[in-house]
Amino acid sequence: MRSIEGKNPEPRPKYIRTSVSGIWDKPSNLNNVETWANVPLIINKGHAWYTGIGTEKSKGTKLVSVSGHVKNTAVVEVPMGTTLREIVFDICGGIPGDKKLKAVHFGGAMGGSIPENLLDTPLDFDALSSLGATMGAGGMLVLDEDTSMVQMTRTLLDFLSKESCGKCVPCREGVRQMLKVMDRLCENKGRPGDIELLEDLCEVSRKASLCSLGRTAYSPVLSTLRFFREEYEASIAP
Amino acid sequence: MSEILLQIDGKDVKATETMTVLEAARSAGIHIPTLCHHEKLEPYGGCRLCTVEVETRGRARLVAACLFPVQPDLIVRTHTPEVDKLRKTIIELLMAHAPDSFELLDLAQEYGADRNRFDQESSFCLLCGLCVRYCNEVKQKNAIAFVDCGAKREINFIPEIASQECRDCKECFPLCPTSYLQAAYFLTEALAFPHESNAAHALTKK
Ligand code: SF4
Ligand code: SF4
Ligand code: FES
Repeated sequence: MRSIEGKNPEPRPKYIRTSVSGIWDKPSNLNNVETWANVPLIINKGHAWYTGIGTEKSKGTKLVSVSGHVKNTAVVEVPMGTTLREIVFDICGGIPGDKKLKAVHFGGAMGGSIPENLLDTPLDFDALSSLGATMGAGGMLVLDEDTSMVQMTRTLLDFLSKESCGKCVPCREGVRQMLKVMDRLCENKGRPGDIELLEDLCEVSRKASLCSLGRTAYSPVLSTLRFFREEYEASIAP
Repeated sequence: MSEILLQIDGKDVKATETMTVLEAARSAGIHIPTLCHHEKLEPYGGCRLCTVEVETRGRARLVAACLFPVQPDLIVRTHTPEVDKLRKTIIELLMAHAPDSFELLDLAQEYGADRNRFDQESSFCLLCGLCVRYCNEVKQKNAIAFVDCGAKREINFIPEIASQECRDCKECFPLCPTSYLQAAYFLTEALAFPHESNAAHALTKK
Protein backbone atom coordinates (compact mmCIF):
# COMPACT_ATOMS: atom_id res chain seq x y z
CA MET A 1 0.00 0.00 0.00
CA ARG A 2 2.85 2.35 0.78
CA SER A 3 4.26 1.58 -2.64
CA ILE A 4 1.00 2.47 -4.36
CA GLU A 5 1.04 5.75 -2.47
CA GLY A 6 4.48 6.35 -3.96
CA LYS A 7 6.26 6.09 -0.63
CA ASN A 8 9.07 3.86 0.60
CA PRO A 9 7.94 0.26 0.79
CA GLU A 10 8.09 0.08 4.56
CA PRO A 11 5.35 -0.95 6.93
CA ARG A 12 3.23 1.85 8.31
CA PRO A 13 4.24 2.71 11.84
CA LYS A 14 0.67 2.85 13.05
CA TYR A 15 -1.61 0.76 15.16
CA ILE A 16 -4.55 1.25 12.82
CA ARG A 17 -6.38 -1.43 10.91
CA THR A 18 -6.31 -1.06 7.15
CA SER A 19 -10.05 -1.73 7.15
CA VAL A 20 -10.39 1.57 9.00
CA SER A 21 -7.69 3.59 7.32
CA GLY A 22 -5.54 2.13 4.60
CA ILE A 23 -4.37 3.45 1.29
CA TRP A 24 -4.66 7.25 1.11
CA ASP A 25 -6.29 6.97 4.54
CA LYS A 26 -9.36 5.27 3.06
CA PRO A 27 -10.65 1.94 4.33
CA SER A 28 -8.89 -0.73 2.32
CA ASN A 29 -9.20 -4.44 1.84
CA LEU A 30 -5.94 -6.20 1.17
CA ASN A 31 -6.15 -9.88 0.33
CA ASN A 32 -4.41 -12.58 -1.64
CA VAL A 33 -5.67 -13.36 -5.12
CA GLU A 34 -6.47 -16.84 -3.88
CA THR A 35 -8.82 -15.42 -1.28
CA TRP A 36 -10.58 -13.26 -3.84
CA ALA A 37 -10.90 -16.22 -6.20
CA ASN A 38 -13.08 -17.96 -3.63
CA VAL A 39 -15.58 -15.13 -3.51
CA PRO A 40 -17.44 -15.70 -6.82
CA LEU A 41 -17.70 -19.42 -6.07
CA ILE A 42 -19.23 -18.72 -2.69
CA ILE A 43 -21.65 -16.20 -4.15
CA ASN A 44 -22.72 -18.51 -6.96
CA LYS A 45 -22.96 -21.77 -5.07
CA GLY A 46 -23.83 -20.50 -1.62
CA HIS A 47 -22.00 -20.60 1.68
CA ALA A 48 -23.51 -23.96 2.64
CA TRP A 49 -21.81 -25.58 -0.32
CA TYR A 50 -18.50 -23.93 0.55
CA THR A 51 -18.53 -24.68 4.26
CA GLY A 52 -19.46 -28.28 3.47
CA ILE A 53 -15.86 -28.72 2.36
CA GLY A 54 -13.01 -28.82 4.81
CA THR A 55 -12.65 -29.25 8.56
CA GLU A 56 -14.62 -27.80 11.40
CA LYS A 57 -12.66 -24.58 11.54
CA SER A 58 -10.85 -24.45 8.19
CA LYS A 59 -13.29 -24.38 5.32
CA GLY A 60 -13.06 -24.82 1.60
CA THR A 61 -10.08 -25.87 -0.42
CA LYS A 62 -6.49 -24.76 -0.47
CA LEU A 63 -3.92 -24.47 -3.19
CA VAL A 64 -0.72 -26.10 -2.04
CA SER A 65 2.45 -25.70 -4.04
CA VAL A 66 4.53 -28.76 -3.44
CA SER A 67 8.22 -28.62 -4.18
CA GLY A 68 11.50 -30.12 -3.02
CA HIS A 69 12.27 -33.82 -2.83
CA VAL A 70 9.08 -35.09 -4.35
CA LYS A 71 8.38 -36.97 -7.57
CA ASN A 72 5.77 -34.58 -8.91
CA THR A 73 6.26 -30.97 -7.96
CA ALA A 74 2.96 -29.26 -8.57
CA VAL A 75 0.37 -26.83 -7.37
CA VAL A 76 -2.52 -28.93 -6.13
CA GLU A 77 -5.92 -27.93 -4.90
CA VAL A 78 -7.06 -30.07 -2.00
CA PRO A 79 -9.92 -29.86 0.45
CA MET A 80 -8.91 -28.58 3.86
CA GLY A 81 -8.38 -31.52 6.15
CA THR A 82 -6.38 -33.58 3.65
CA THR A 83 -3.37 -34.95 5.51
CA LEU A 84 0.13 -33.91 4.60
CA ARG A 85 0.97 -37.56 4.01
CA GLU A 86 -1.77 -37.82 1.40
CA ILE A 87 -0.43 -34.78 -0.39
CA VAL A 88 3.15 -36.04 -0.47
CA PHE A 89 2.57 -39.71 -1.22
CA ASP A 90 -0.87 -40.13 -2.80
CA ILE A 91 -1.05 -36.96 -4.83
CA CYS A 92 2.55 -36.11 -5.55
CA GLY A 93 3.94 -39.62 -5.89
CA GLY A 94 6.30 -39.75 -2.93
CA ILE A 95 10.04 -39.21 -2.68
CA PRO A 96 12.35 -39.86 -5.63
CA GLY A 97 14.93 -42.63 -5.36
CA ASP A 98 12.85 -44.39 -2.71
CA LYS A 99 14.45 -42.32 -0.03
CA LYS A 100 12.78 -41.76 3.27
CA LEU A 101 10.93 -38.60 4.06
CA LYS A 102 12.42 -36.50 6.82
CA ALA A 103 10.07 -33.56 7.14
CA VAL A 104 7.95 -31.10 5.26
CA HIS A 105 8.43 -27.41 5.69
CA PHE A 106 5.02 -25.80 5.45
CA GLY A 107 4.07 -22.17 5.03
CA GLY A 108 6.99 -20.75 3.09
CA ALA A 109 10.01 -19.05 4.59
CA MET A 110 8.05 -17.92 7.63
CA GLY A 111 6.55 -21.36 8.15
CA GLY A 112 7.71 -24.29 10.16
CA SER A 113 8.99 -27.82 9.68
CA ILE A 114 6.88 -30.83 10.52
CA PRO A 115 8.77 -34.09 11.07
CA GLU A 116 7.78 -37.34 9.38
CA ASN A 117 6.12 -38.82 12.47
CA LEU A 118 3.56 -36.01 12.48
CA LEU A 119 2.77 -36.24 8.80
CA ASP A 120 -0.78 -37.39 9.38
CA THR A 121 -1.56 -33.86 10.47
CA PRO A 122 -4.49 -32.53 8.49
CA LEU A 123 -4.31 -29.35 6.48
CA ASP A 124 -5.99 -27.06 8.98
CA PHE A 125 -5.05 -23.64 10.31
CA ASP A 126 -5.12 -24.66 13.95
CA ALA A 127 -3.41 -28.00 13.46
CA LEU A 128 -0.53 -26.40 11.57
CA SER A 129 -0.04 -23.55 13.99
CA SER A 130 -0.02 -25.91 16.97
CA LEU A 131 3.06 -27.45 15.35
CA GLY A 132 4.72 -24.09 14.80
CA ALA A 133 3.99 -24.01 11.07
CA THR A 134 1.56 -21.73 9.27
CA MET A 135 -0.79 -22.11 6.34
CA GLY A 136 0.84 -19.09 4.75
CA ALA A 137 0.45 -19.12 1.01
CA GLY A 138 0.40 -22.91 0.99
CA GLY A 139 4.05 -23.49 0.17
CA MET A 140 5.11 -27.01 1.01
CA LEU A 141 8.73 -28.02 0.80
CA VAL A 142 9.34 -31.75 0.97
CA LEU A 143 12.66 -32.80 2.52
CA ASP A 144 14.18 -36.24 2.23
CA GLU A 145 16.32 -38.08 4.77
CA ASP A 146 19.57 -36.58 3.48
CA THR A 147 18.54 -32.98 4.15
CA SER A 148 20.39 -30.99 6.78
CA MET A 149 17.74 -29.08 8.67
CA VAL A 150 20.36 -26.58 9.79
CA GLN A 151 21.33 -25.89 6.17
CA MET A 152 17.71 -25.61 5.13
CA THR A 153 16.98 -23.13 7.89
CA ARG A 154 20.00 -21.09 6.95
CA THR A 155 18.74 -20.83 3.39
CA LEU A 156 15.35 -19.62 4.56
CA LEU A 157 16.89 -17.04 6.90
CA ASP A 158 19.12 -15.82 4.13
CA PHE A 159 16.03 -15.25 2.02
CA LEU A 160 14.27 -13.46 4.88
CA SER A 161 17.25 -11.23 5.52
CA LYS A 162 16.86 -9.99 1.96
CA GLU A 163 13.12 -9.51 2.35
CA SER A 164 13.48 -7.51 5.55
CA CYS A 165 13.07 -3.83 4.86
CA GLY A 166 15.63 -3.02 7.53
CA LYS A 167 13.60 -0.41 9.33
CA CYS A 168 13.33 -1.96 12.74
CA VAL A 169 16.09 -3.34 14.93
CA PRO A 170 14.68 -6.70 16.08
CA CYS A 171 14.16 -7.92 12.54
CA ARG A 172 17.11 -6.32 10.75
CA GLU A 173 19.69 -7.02 13.45
CA GLY A 174 18.04 -10.12 14.84
CA VAL A 175 17.97 -11.87 11.48
CA ARG A 176 21.48 -10.65 10.70
CA GLN A 177 22.83 -12.22 13.90
CA MET A 178 20.77 -15.38 13.51
CA LEU A 179 22.24 -15.80 10.08
CA LYS A 180 25.76 -15.45 11.47
CA VAL A 181 25.08 -18.18 13.98
CA MET A 182 23.59 -20.38 11.27
CA ASP A 183 26.68 -19.82 9.12
CA ARG A 184 28.86 -21.07 11.95
CA LEU A 185 26.62 -24.05 12.54
CA CYS A 186 26.65 -24.98 8.86
CA GLU A 187 30.41 -25.28 9.05
CA ASN A 188 30.14 -27.29 12.24
CA LYS A 189 31.85 -24.45 14.05
CA GLY A 190 29.03 -23.58 16.38
CA ARG A 191 30.00 -22.17 19.75
CA PRO A 192 28.66 -23.32 23.07
CA GLY A 193 25.68 -21.13 23.86
CA ASP A 194 24.73 -20.61 20.22
CA ILE A 195 21.43 -22.44 20.59
CA GLU A 196 20.42 -20.26 23.52
CA LEU A 197 21.53 -17.22 21.55
CA LEU A 198 19.26 -18.26 18.69
CA GLU A 199 16.39 -18.66 21.11
CA ASP A 200 16.89 -15.17 22.51
CA LEU A 201 17.06 -13.70 19.00
CA CYS A 202 13.89 -15.54 18.03
CA GLU A 203 12.19 -14.05 21.06
CA VAL A 204 13.19 -10.47 20.33
CA SER A 205 12.22 -10.63 16.67
CA ARG A 206 8.92 -12.32 17.44
CA LYS A 207 7.87 -10.00 20.23
CA ALA A 208 9.29 -6.64 19.31
CA SER A 209 9.36 -6.31 15.51
CA LEU A 210 7.33 -3.69 13.74
CA CYS A 211 5.61 -5.82 11.13
CA SER A 212 4.60 -9.38 10.58
CA LEU A 213 7.74 -10.20 8.61
CA GLY A 214 9.92 -9.71 11.66
CA ARG A 215 7.25 -11.17 13.90
CA THR A 216 7.32 -14.46 12.04
CA ALA A 217 10.90 -14.58 10.75
CA TYR A 218 11.92 -16.58 13.81
CA SER A 219 9.54 -19.36 12.91
CA PRO A 220 11.77 -21.68 10.84
CA VAL A 221 14.51 -21.44 13.46
CA LEU A 222 12.28 -22.16 16.41
CA SER A 223 10.45 -24.97 14.67
CA THR A 224 13.58 -26.76 13.53
CA LEU A 225 15.03 -26.25 17.00
CA ARG A 226 11.92 -27.86 18.39
CA PHE A 227 11.93 -30.98 16.25
CA PHE A 228 15.55 -31.31 15.16
CA ARG A 229 17.50 -29.90 18.07
CA GLU A 230 20.02 -32.73 17.93
CA GLU A 231 21.16 -31.51 14.50
CA TYR A 232 21.92 -28.12 16.00
CA GLU A 233 23.70 -29.70 18.92
CA ALA A 234 25.80 -31.78 16.56
CA SER A 235 26.92 -28.62 14.75
CA ILE A 236 28.54 -27.10 17.81
CA ALA A 237 32.28 -27.51 17.74
CA PRO A 238 33.50 -29.51 20.72
CA MET B 1 -10.58 17.44 22.94
CA SER B 2 -11.73 14.70 25.22
CA GLU B 3 -9.67 13.57 28.12
CA ILE B 4 -8.60 9.99 28.50
CA LEU B 5 -7.77 8.25 31.72
CA LEU B 6 -5.28 5.42 31.68
CA GLN B 7 -2.95 3.70 34.07
CA ILE B 8 0.82 3.58 33.67
CA ASP B 9 2.87 1.56 36.15
CA GLY B 10 0.03 1.68 38.62
CA LYS B 11 -0.33 5.44 38.38
CA ASP B 12 -3.48 7.13 37.05
CA VAL B 13 -2.54 9.31 34.11
CA LYS B 14 -4.68 11.83 32.25
CA ALA B 15 -4.02 12.21 28.55
CA THR B 16 -5.64 13.73 25.51
CA GLU B 17 -7.05 11.65 22.72
CA THR B 18 -4.29 12.16 20.20
CA MET B 19 -1.42 11.26 22.52
CA THR B 20 0.72 8.16 22.29
CA VAL B 21 1.52 6.07 25.33
CA LEU B 22 5.01 7.55 25.30
CA GLU B 23 3.71 11.11 25.40
CA ALA B 24 1.28 10.28 28.17
CA ALA B 25 4.04 8.62 30.19
CA ARG B 26 6.38 11.57 29.75
CA SER B 27 3.70 14.02 30.79
CA ALA B 28 3.37 12.06 34.00
CA GLY B 29 7.11 11.94 34.56
CA ILE B 30 7.41 8.24 33.76
CA HIS B 31 10.51 7.40 31.77
CA ILE B 32 10.43 5.04 28.79
CA PRO B 33 13.72 4.65 26.91
CA THR B 34 13.74 5.65 23.23
CA LEU B 35 16.32 5.92 20.48
CA CYS B 36 14.49 6.79 17.29
CA HIS B 37 11.88 9.11 18.75
CA HIS B 38 12.03 12.89 18.42
CA GLU B 39 9.27 15.35 19.32
CA LYS B 40 9.61 17.25 16.08
CA LEU B 41 9.37 14.18 13.90
CA GLU B 42 6.65 11.77 12.89
CA PRO B 43 6.68 8.59 14.97
CA TYR B 44 8.88 5.99 13.35
CA GLY B 45 8.85 2.81 15.38
CA GLY B 46 12.26 1.59 14.28
CA CYS B 47 14.37 0.94 17.35
CA ARG B 48 11.67 -0.82 19.40
CA LEU B 49 13.45 0.15 22.59
CA CYS B 50 10.27 1.80 23.82
CA THR B 51 8.46 -1.55 23.82
CA VAL B 52 6.01 -1.77 26.73
CA GLU B 53 3.26 -4.10 27.78
CA VAL B 54 -0.30 -2.85 27.41
CA GLU B 55 -3.45 -4.51 28.61
CA THR B 56 -6.94 -4.00 27.25
CA ARG B 57 -9.94 -6.02 28.35
CA GLY B 58 -7.72 -8.45 30.17
CA ARG B 59 -5.48 -9.13 27.17
CA ALA B 60 -1.85 -8.14 27.44
CA ARG B 61 0.45 -7.53 24.50
CA LEU B 62 3.70 -5.80 23.62
CA VAL B 63 3.63 -2.57 21.64
CA ALA B 64 5.92 0.33 20.78
CA ALA B 65 5.01 3.15 23.16
CA CYS B 66 6.04 5.84 20.69
CA LEU B 67 3.35 4.67 18.25
CA PHE B 68 0.59 3.22 20.35
CA PRO B 69 -2.32 5.62 20.87
CA VAL B 70 -3.77 6.04 24.35
CA GLN B 71 -7.17 4.49 25.00
CA PRO B 72 -9.54 4.79 27.92
CA ASP B 73 -8.72 2.36 30.72
CA LEU B 74 -5.54 1.15 29.08
CA ILE B 75 -3.14 -0.43 31.53
CA VAL B 76 0.53 0.12 30.67
CA ARG B 77 3.52 -1.59 32.25
CA THR B 78 6.80 0.02 31.26
CA HIS B 79 8.99 -2.47 33.11
CA THR B 80 8.35 -6.17 33.24
CA PRO B 81 10.99 -8.90 33.18
CA GLU B 82 9.95 -9.66 29.60
CA VAL B 83 10.15 -6.04 28.45
CA ASP B 84 13.50 -5.49 30.15
CA LYS B 85 14.93 -8.61 28.54
CA LEU B 86 13.83 -7.48 25.08
CA ARG B 87 15.40 -4.06 25.65
CA LYS B 88 18.62 -5.69 26.79
CA THR B 89 18.86 -7.77 23.61
CA ILE B 90 18.03 -4.76 21.44
CA ILE B 91 20.81 -2.76 23.10
CA GLU B 92 23.23 -5.64 22.61
CA LEU B 93 22.31 -5.93 18.95
CA LEU B 94 22.98 -2.24 18.43
CA MET B 95 26.23 -2.32 20.35
CA ALA B 96 27.64 -4.67 17.75
CA HIS B 97 27.66 -1.61 15.52
CA ALA B 98 28.41 1.28 17.83
CA PRO B 99 30.07 -0.06 20.98
CA ASP B 100 31.19 3.38 22.13
CA SER B 101 28.02 5.37 21.69
CA PHE B 102 27.40 7.18 24.99
CA GLU B 103 23.68 6.71 24.74
CA LEU B 104 24.11 2.99 24.31
CA LEU B 105 26.68 2.73 27.07
CA ASP B 106 24.27 4.37 29.50
CA LEU B 107 21.46 2.10 28.41
CA ALA B 108 23.71 -0.94 28.61
CA GLN B 109 24.45 -0.14 32.20
CA GLU B 110 20.81 0.33 33.05
CA TYR B 111 19.74 -2.95 31.46
CA GLY B 112 22.80 -5.04 32.18
CA ALA B 113 23.56 -5.46 28.50
CA ASP B 114 26.81 -7.05 27.37
CA ARG B 115 28.36 -4.97 24.60
CA ASN B 116 30.34 -7.94 23.35
CA ARG B 117 27.51 -10.43 23.16
CA PHE B 118 27.53 -10.18 19.38
CA ASP B 119 30.59 -10.02 17.20
CA GLN B 120 31.62 -6.47 16.50
CA GLU B 121 30.66 -5.26 13.09
CA SER B 122 31.25 -1.58 13.44
CA SER B 123 29.20 0.45 11.04
CA PHE B 124 28.66 3.11 13.72
CA CYS B 125 25.20 3.85 12.40
CA LEU B 126 22.19 2.55 14.31
CA LEU B 127 19.86 3.34 11.41
CA CYS B 128 17.59 5.17 13.81
CA GLY B 129 16.70 7.42 10.91
CA LEU B 130 16.77 10.62 12.97
CA CYS B 131 19.06 12.36 10.51
CA VAL B 132 17.16 11.19 7.44
CA ARG B 133 13.80 12.13 8.88
CA TYR B 134 14.95 15.45 10.28
CA CYS B 135 16.30 16.50 6.93
CA ASN B 136 13.15 15.34 5.20
CA GLU B 137 10.47 16.49 7.63
CA VAL B 138 11.90 19.60 9.23
CA LYS B 139 14.37 20.97 6.68
CA GLN B 140 12.65 19.42 3.67
CA LYS B 141 15.94 19.14 1.85
CA ASN B 142 16.41 15.37 1.64
CA ALA B 143 20.15 15.68 1.64
CA ILE B 144 20.50 12.35 3.37
CA ALA B 145 18.69 9.12 2.67
CA PHE B 146 18.50 5.44 3.35
CA VAL B 147 19.83 3.18 0.66
CA ASP B 148 19.27 -0.55 0.24
CA CYS B 149 17.15 -2.67 2.51
CA GLY B 150 17.33 -5.41 5.10
CA ALA B 151 20.70 -6.05 6.65
CA LYS B 152 22.36 -4.02 3.89
CA ARG B 153 20.59 -0.79 4.78
CA GLU B 154 22.83 2.28 5.11
CA ILE B 155 22.53 6.03 5.24
CA ASN B 156 24.06 8.15 2.55
CA PHE B 157 24.40 11.82 1.83
CA ILE B 158 23.30 12.85 -1.63
CA PRO B 159 26.40 14.76 -2.69
CA GLU B 160 24.59 17.16 -5.03
CA ILE B 161 22.18 18.29 -2.34
CA ALA B 162 24.57 17.98 0.58
CA SER B 163 27.05 20.31 -1.05
CA GLN B 164 24.37 22.99 -1.31
CA GLU B 165 22.66 22.58 2.00
CA CYS B 166 24.68 20.87 4.67
CA ARG B 167 27.58 23.20 5.23
CA ASP B 168 25.43 25.91 6.77
CA CYS B 169 22.95 23.64 8.45
CA LYS B 170 24.38 20.58 10.17
CA GLU B 171 21.29 20.61 12.38
CA CYS B 172 20.98 16.86 12.25
CA PHE B 173 24.45 16.25 13.66
CA PRO B 174 23.56 16.58 17.34
CA LEU B 175 20.61 14.22 16.89
CA CYS B 176 22.81 11.29 16.03
CA PRO B 177 23.27 8.83 18.89
CA THR B 178 26.73 7.93 17.54
CA SER B 179 29.44 9.98 15.94
CA TYR B 180 28.79 8.36 12.62
CA LEU B 181 26.75 11.09 11.01
CA GLN B 182 29.55 13.66 11.12
CA ALA B 183 32.01 11.09 9.87
CA ALA B 184 29.75 10.17 6.98
CA TYR B 185 29.31 13.81 6.08
CA PHE B 186 33.00 14.57 6.02
CA LEU B 187 33.64 11.46 4.02
CA THR B 188 31.07 12.49 1.43
CA GLU B 189 32.49 15.95 1.37
CA ALA B 190 35.99 14.65 0.90
CA LEU B 191 35.00 12.29 -1.87
CA ALA B 192 32.68 14.61 -3.73
CA PHE B 193 34.58 17.89 -3.41
CA PRO B 194 38.20 17.02 -2.86
CA HIS B 195 39.30 20.62 -3.27
CA GLU B 196 36.91 22.34 -0.94
CA SER B 197 36.54 20.00 1.95
CA ASN B 198 38.24 20.45 5.30
CA ALA B 199 38.85 16.78 5.57
CA ALA B 200 40.66 16.72 2.26
CA HIS B 201 42.73 19.72 3.33
CA ALA B 202 43.73 18.04 6.50
CA LEU B 203 44.78 14.99 4.56
CA THR B 204 46.83 16.81 1.94
CA LYS B 205 48.36 19.49 4.14
CA LYS B 206 51.01 17.32 5.75
S1 SF4 C 1 9.98 -6.34 10.97
FE1 SF4 C 1 11.53 -6.40 9.32
S2 SF4 C 1 10.39 -6.02 7.48
FE2 SF4 C 1 9.12 -5.35 9.24
S3 SF4 C 1 9.61 -3.21 9.64
FE3 SF4 C 1 11.00 -4.36 10.85
S4 SF4 C 1 12.77 -4.55 9.51
FE4 SF4 C 1 11.12 -4.02 8.20
S1 SF4 D 1 23.78 8.47 11.10
FE1 SF4 D 1 23.20 8.70 13.24
S2 SF4 D 1 21.23 9.79 13.21
FE2 SF4 D 1 21.58 9.01 11.15
S3 SF4 D 1 20.54 7.00 11.12
FE3 SF4 D 1 22.68 6.61 11.66
S4 SF4 D 1 22.70 6.60 13.89
FE4 SF4 D 1 20.76 7.58 13.27
S1 FES E 1 11.39 5.10 20.23
FE1 FES E 1 9.71 3.81 19.80
S2 FES E 1 10.54 2.47 18.33
FE2 FES E 1 12.21 3.82 18.66
